[in-house]
Amino acid sequence: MIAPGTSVLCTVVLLAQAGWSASGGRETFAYRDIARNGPPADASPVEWRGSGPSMVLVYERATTRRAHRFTIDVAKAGSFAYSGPVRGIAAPGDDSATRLEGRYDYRRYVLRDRIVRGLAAGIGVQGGGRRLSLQRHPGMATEAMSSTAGSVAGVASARLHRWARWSAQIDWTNGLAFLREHDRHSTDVLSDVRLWGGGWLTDLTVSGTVHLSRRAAVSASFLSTGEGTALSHHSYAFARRRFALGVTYVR
Amino acid sequence: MSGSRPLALAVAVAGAVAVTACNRILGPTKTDTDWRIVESAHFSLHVRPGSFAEQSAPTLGQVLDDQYDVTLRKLNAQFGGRVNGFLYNNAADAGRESESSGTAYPDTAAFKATATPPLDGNLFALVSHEANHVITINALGRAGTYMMNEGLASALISERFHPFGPHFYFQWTRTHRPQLVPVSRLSDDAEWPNLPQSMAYSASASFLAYLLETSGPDRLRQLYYARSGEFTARFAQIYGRTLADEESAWLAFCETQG
Repeated sequence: MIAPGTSVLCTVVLLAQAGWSASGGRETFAYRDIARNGPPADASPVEWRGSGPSMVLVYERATTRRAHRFTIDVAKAGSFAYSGPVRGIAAPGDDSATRLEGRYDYRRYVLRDRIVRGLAAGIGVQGGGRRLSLQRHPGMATEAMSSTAGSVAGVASARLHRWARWSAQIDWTNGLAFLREHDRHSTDVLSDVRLWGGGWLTDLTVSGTVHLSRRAAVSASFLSTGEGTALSHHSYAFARRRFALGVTYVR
Repeated sequence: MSGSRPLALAVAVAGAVAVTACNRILGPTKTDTDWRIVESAHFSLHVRPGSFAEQSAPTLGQVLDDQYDVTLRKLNAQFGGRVNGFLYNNAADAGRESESSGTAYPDTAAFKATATPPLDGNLFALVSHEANHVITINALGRAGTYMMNEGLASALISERFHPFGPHFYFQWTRTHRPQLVPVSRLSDDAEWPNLPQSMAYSASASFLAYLLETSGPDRLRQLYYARSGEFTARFAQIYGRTLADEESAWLAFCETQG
């Protein structure tokens, strides 16, 4: 669910130490409502799409065999448009999406230097929580939705650190989420409703890191994620894309 | 492990992972770009180049613009957004089982419908029903029950260009009395999926059109949000009579129509 901010973490892992990393970048958020759940989902041909800043803070303790990672991820998107397959129409300027996530994952690197020298493949589990708030303004009204979700996911990871100065990593996260949603519409207080539901998440992160010294590194990462939610009377999916740059400090 | 075997295994595992990802299986697919857009006052109608829908789009735009105004006036509601309609050539093109089907996506102000000949009241009613979902939910928020969601989208259909509006449903009620189920069952979301859908849609439309015609939009807008478990009690509170009494009055009213 969260962008794990893996960009800088591989440095920490490979040095078998603990460290902090901070990444910042720009993220696009694209939402589609679903009329009938799949597979495949019967989703709107139009996306409600916006973009904005995103920040990720990670603490990781790692050895060559295993890693514990804590991630906090916050993003806010604006400048929304209703983007169809041919063209888009600007949405009201105060439409917005805000996301706050926290994740913990534990992984073990089970294949090290077996396929290619310097390549380690790992598997792990991840648990997380997410708060998502969306606000749309159809006409003169305000429609607000906020959801609180918990997730359990599996993680597959591969890192390549064959040379001293740089390393690369790819992480794939796939799992299920459970959530509570609160919807309301400004036209009437009676529209206030709370719903339970479930969903899925899939993340793919690719990152590269340049090690400046024993204690410092800089990195670049790209995240692509897809999430879906099914509730009574309201199902939707959203996708995020993020490019981020980060720094790492290793203790 | 050594040589090409582990590498092949790694590639196979990576491929399996990518193919089986939840989002790939359960998530939405990308919409194709083979569309032309025909504009009306409130709608951007997406049609396939050279299709029946493209020829019919100016007329459908007129019907939908009228529907937009009628829906907001009947509900005494406001919505200023533009609606994107996607008119597919047929069921196969739309990925549907029926040649006369549609789906609405209110959060993104869009709907899909199959647009097959002839250009008549059935097609007008289909696109109007889907457009009504978009207009209603954006103007009022989400309905509390399937009955309200689906029934109101048909109950609001304008009769300016075709006869498949409220009076059609009143007459349908009169001629289908043996098939009707109590409104208390229609308003139960647990029962709704198991009911004959044609009957459920038409009976809901008829009952809600009757409420709009006899008691106006303000009360209906209060009932709009009631969920299944509270529907009967909320009805009595809002209308000052029991749901069963109102149901009898509705059936008697339908006997006088047409």
